[in-house]
Amino acid sequence: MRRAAGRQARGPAGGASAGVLALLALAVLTACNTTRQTVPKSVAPQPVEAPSAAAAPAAPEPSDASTQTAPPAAQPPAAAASMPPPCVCSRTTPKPRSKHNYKRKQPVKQSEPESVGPLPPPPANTVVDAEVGRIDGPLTAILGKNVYSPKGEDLGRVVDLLADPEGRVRVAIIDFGGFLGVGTRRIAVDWPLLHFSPSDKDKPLMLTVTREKLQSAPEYKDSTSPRVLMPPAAAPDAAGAATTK
Amino acid sequence: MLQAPPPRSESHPPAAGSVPATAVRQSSTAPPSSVGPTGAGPPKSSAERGLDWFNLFVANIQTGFGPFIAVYLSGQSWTQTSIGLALSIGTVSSMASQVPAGALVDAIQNKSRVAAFSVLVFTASALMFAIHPIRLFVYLAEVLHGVSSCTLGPAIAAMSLMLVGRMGMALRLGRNARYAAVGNGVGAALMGACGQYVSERAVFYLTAALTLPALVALLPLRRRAAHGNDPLAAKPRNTAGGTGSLRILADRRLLIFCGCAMLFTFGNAPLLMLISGTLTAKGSNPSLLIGACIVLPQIVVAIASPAVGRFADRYGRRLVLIVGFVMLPLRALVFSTTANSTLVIAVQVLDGVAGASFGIMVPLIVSDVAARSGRFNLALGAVGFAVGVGSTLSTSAAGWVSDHYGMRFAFYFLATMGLAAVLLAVFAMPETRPGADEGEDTRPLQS
Repeated sequence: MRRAAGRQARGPAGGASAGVLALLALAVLTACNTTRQTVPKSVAPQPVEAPSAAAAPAAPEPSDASTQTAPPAAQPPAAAASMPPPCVCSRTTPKPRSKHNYKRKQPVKQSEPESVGPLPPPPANTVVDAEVGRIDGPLTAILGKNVYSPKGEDLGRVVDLLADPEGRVRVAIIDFGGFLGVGTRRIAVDWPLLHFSPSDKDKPLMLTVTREKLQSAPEYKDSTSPRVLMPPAAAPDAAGAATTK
Repeated sequence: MLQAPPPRSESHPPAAGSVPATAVRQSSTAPPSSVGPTGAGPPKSSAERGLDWFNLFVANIQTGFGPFIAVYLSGQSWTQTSIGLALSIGTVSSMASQVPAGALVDAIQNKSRVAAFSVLVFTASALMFAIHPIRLFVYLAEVLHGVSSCTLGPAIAAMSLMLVGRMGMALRLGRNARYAAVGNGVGAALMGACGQYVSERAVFYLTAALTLPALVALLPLRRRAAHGNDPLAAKPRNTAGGTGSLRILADRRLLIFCGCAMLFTFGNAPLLMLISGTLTAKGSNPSLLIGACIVLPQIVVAIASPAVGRFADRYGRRLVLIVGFVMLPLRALVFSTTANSTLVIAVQVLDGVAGASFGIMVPLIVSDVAARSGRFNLALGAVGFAVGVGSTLSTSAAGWVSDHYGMRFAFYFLATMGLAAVLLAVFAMPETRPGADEGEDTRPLQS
C-alpha cells in the first residue's frame, strides 16, 4: 500500500514531467489498454494531495505522513516504482503477490531518480505515450470471482473494488448470501483481508474472515465513507506493514 | 380440501358449465359459425390441460429471468453499474410495452400464436444470456424478455377466457395460478440447484430448454384456437376505434383497481427483499431460509388458488381482494418485530394467500371490467403498468427508508402502503362480479 503511495507521491514530487509521464504510462499499462483515456483523468486529482505526502521525505514529517511516505524512501527505487496500485494489498500479505509485482517492467526505473524532487502537477488530461509491455507472474482476475474462507466455504463474490484518491485499492465489495439473487448483501471488506493464489484455479481468492463475521457486517451502502470489515486493530496493521518493509 | 383430487377432474364442471355461457354470448353477437367451432377441434379438456402445463412451464422459465440475472452477470465480471443498467433496461422496456402489448394482443386474433411467439423470444433471450453475455446481447435479451412478458401474460389470460368464457374465468384463473405457482416453486428449486451444483450459465440453458415443453403444451391450444374464436376480443374490434380504448382505460373501476394494484405492489415487492436481507445477516443458513421464503408461498398458492377462484365467484371479487390485501400489512408488521427465521417463514404463508388472491383477481377483475369491450388485454396491460410502476418505485423507496430510518421503519412504511391498498379497496373499489350488475350474464353461471 505504501509502496503504491510512494510511487504516486514521487511522481508529482519528482519535478521532471518526463517522470510523471512515465508513471502515467505505467499506470496505463498496469491498468488496461482500453482505459487509456480514463486513466490520466483518474490520476489527475492525485497531484493535489500527493505533493504534500511527497514533500514529506524531503522534510521531517509528522508521524502520520511518515507512514505514508517513509517506505518509498526506504525502498529500492525500482521496486517502489514498479508497484501498481493493486499492490496496496501487500501490507499484511504474503509474499507471492509482492513477488509477482516486483517483477514489473523496467522503464519506470528511469523515472525514479527524477521523481524525487518537487514537481508541478501534470496537466489533468495528459495523454501519455503508452507502450505495450509484459507483466510477469500469474495475476488474478478479481471482479466476479468467488472468495472462499480458509475452511473452503464459499463466502460470495467480489463485485466491486474501491480505491482512494491515490489510486490504492482499499476495499473489496463482496456480494454475499441470498438465493437465486434474492437477499444478497453487499459487504465492504478491507483489501488486506483478501489473499491471492493465482495458481489455484478453483479458489484463487481467499478471504480471511469467518462466515459469521461477514454475514453480520453492515451492508455496504455508499462509497464515500463505507463501513468496512477490517482486520483487528487496523492502525497497528499499518504500522506493522511499515516495519515489514 | 375440496380441490384435493387432481385439478383436472375438478375443473370439468366449470368447463362444462361455461360452454353454454360462451355459446350464449357468441350466438347473441357473433356469427353463428363461431358456435360450431366451440365444439369442434380437439376436446376442451386437452386444451385445458395444455394451458395448465403451459402456465407451469412459463412460470418455470420466468424464474430464470428473475434476480438471478444479477448473480450471473456478477460472475461474468460485470460491474454493478452495468448490471443495474441491464436490469433497468429490462424494467423500462417491460413497463413501456405493457399497454401497447395489451393492445397488440387484442388486435391479434390467434392468441396461441402470440403465446408461442413470446415463448420463442424467451428462448432467444435465455440463449443470449447463456451463450454470449456481452452488453449488446444482454441488453437486447432484457428488452426482448421485457416486451414478450407483456404479450405473454395477456395472451395466457385471453386464451383462458377463450377456453372457458367469462363465466368460467374465476375457476380457470385459479387453475392457472395453481400451475404457475407449481412452476415457480419447481423452477426456483431446479434453478437454485442448477446454479449451485452445475454452473450459473447452465441456469440459462435450462431456461432455454424449458421453453420447448412450453411450446409443446401449447399445441392443443393452438389447434383449438384455429377452430375457436375469441368471444370477447374479436367482435367489437371492427366497430370501435380509439374511443373504445379510451373508454376502457377511463373506466372508473379499472382506475381504482389500478390504484389498489399499485399500492399493493408498492408495499409487497420490497418486503421479501428486505426480510431476506435480514435473514442473510442473521440466519444460520440464509440461502436455504430464503429459498423456503420463496417456495413456501408458491405451495400455498398452488393449494389455495382454485378455492380462491370459487370464493371470488361466490362471495365476490371485492372480498377476496381485500382479504388478500390485508395480508400485506400483517406480514410487514410481523417482520418489523421479529427476524426469527421460523416465524418469518410461517408468515410467508400469508404471502401465499395474498399472492393467490392478487394473482387471480388481476385478470379476473379486468375480464369483468373489460367484458365485451374487446379491450381485455389493453386493460390488463394498464394494470400491469400500474403494478410495474409500484414495484419499480417501491424497491428504491423502501431501500431509502431503511437506509435513513432503519429496517423497522421500512416495514412500517410498507405496512402503511398495504393498509392504503386495503382502504382503497374497501371504500372505493366496486364489486365487478358479473352477477352484481349484469343480470343477463348470471344465468349461464347458475345453469
